[in-house]
Amino acid sequence: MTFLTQLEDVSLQQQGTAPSFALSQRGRSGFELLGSVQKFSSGTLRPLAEESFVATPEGKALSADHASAAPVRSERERIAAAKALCASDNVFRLERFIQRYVAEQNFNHGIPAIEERRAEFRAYEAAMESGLLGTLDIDVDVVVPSYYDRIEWHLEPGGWDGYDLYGALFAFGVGPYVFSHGGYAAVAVGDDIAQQRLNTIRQFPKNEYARIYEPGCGGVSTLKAVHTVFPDAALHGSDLSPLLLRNGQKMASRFGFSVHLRLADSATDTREADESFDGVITYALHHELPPKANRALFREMYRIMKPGADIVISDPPPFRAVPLFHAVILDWDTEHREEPFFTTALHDSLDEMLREAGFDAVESYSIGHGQYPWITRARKPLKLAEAA
Amino acid sequence: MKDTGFDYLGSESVTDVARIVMALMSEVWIMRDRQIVTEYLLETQESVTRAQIDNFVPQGELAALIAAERDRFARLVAGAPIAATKRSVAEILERAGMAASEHAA
Repeated sequence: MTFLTQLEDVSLQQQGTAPSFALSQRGRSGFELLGSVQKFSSGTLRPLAEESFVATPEGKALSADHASAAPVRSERERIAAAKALCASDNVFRLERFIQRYVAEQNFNHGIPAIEERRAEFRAYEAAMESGLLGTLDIDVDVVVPSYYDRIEWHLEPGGWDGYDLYGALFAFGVGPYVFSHGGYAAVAVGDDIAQQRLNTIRQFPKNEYARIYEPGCGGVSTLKAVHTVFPDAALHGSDLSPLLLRNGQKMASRFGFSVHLRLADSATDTREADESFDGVITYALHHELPPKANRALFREMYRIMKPGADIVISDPPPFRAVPLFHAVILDWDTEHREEPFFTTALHDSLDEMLREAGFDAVESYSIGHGQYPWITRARKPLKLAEAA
Repeated sequence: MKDTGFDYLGSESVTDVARIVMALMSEVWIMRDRQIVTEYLLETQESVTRAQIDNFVPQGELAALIAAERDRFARLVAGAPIAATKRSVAEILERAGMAASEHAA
């Protein structure tokens, strides 16, 4: 689930639809410092900590065991031992402290920075409410799963719907000034997250798709990338956040493409017809779901996909696919960036889940630095007999 | 050992102290950025209002200059702990945002 984070997109400026106001000097410069500090932490401190880790005899031995085809210790034991070793290093602790600090400040600094411009942002949003493209179906009673309702994802106060201007906060603050540098969660420092989305969409094996669905589509950042690669495809998505869906439709309209969005728990009922989609994309979704919900979601995707349809997934890499120090960095998000299912998801196997749901041609691989984006893709068999 | 007085915060509060330092770092940078913006506006026009400073968005060369200064500031402040051990001439110059000279080890 993601917000649209590239409102400063050049194409908007060319269309003359970019906002004509900016954050205050305080708002802008405070955000910019968070970006610089995070870049320093990820780009300088983290490599120093990794160097120290692999230089110790214990770190070297643990790393070798982790990379072995027949490791002596279990994955959980290796990561637990590596975490303890990392925690004894001052530079590692400083780097982690800065990561946490920036994650907190994205909101502690960001909410007042946006609030200073409330009138301008409200007017900007109101202007977007006319001439909306596509459809938005949110006037329904959806049972919100208990795991979702109690979580302030990524330290976001009140959760996805906790502040009416979160869309602006990500589009005008966190996105351009902090996330644009990479170096947080699974994203490597210097990586361009907009380009990563496009590269992910290009993993669809066919040249054309008539109808593509995205569960957990959030603010339609990924559907925007889908539209870029497959401009003729009809785009459908669902999410549990009404705020994200409203913002998603506005932003898609602003960029000039249609989306059909529904409030739904895509793990239980998308409210879509059987065998009605040619492709499914999921982006940064599965690490935010408990294992049972992930398995249920794949069964639901299988139901709504046509025979021969493709599913492409981008999620953080499993622990088995990354060096041990990197596994410690990823594991840290679970306890420190309000990602309660991150560790569980990275120990698990999306490949196995897809096979359990009936998919075939399952494969997984990396298309970027630090094994991210990590792609998993599969196909619904043309005939049930072919899956046997 | 000399008595340093009652330990009000305790060693477990070092993270709180770090948060205070980071908050101060942010405030100092916001003022530094404002100073650069104010100097720039005064160089390019006769007078400047508070609203002009608040609404100004650096572009082009000025934005690049501020970004370089900001990265140097972040390296020097957030990197202060590693400056205790990473002390070669090249490392010191790098933190200061300066190219290593031929005299650097």
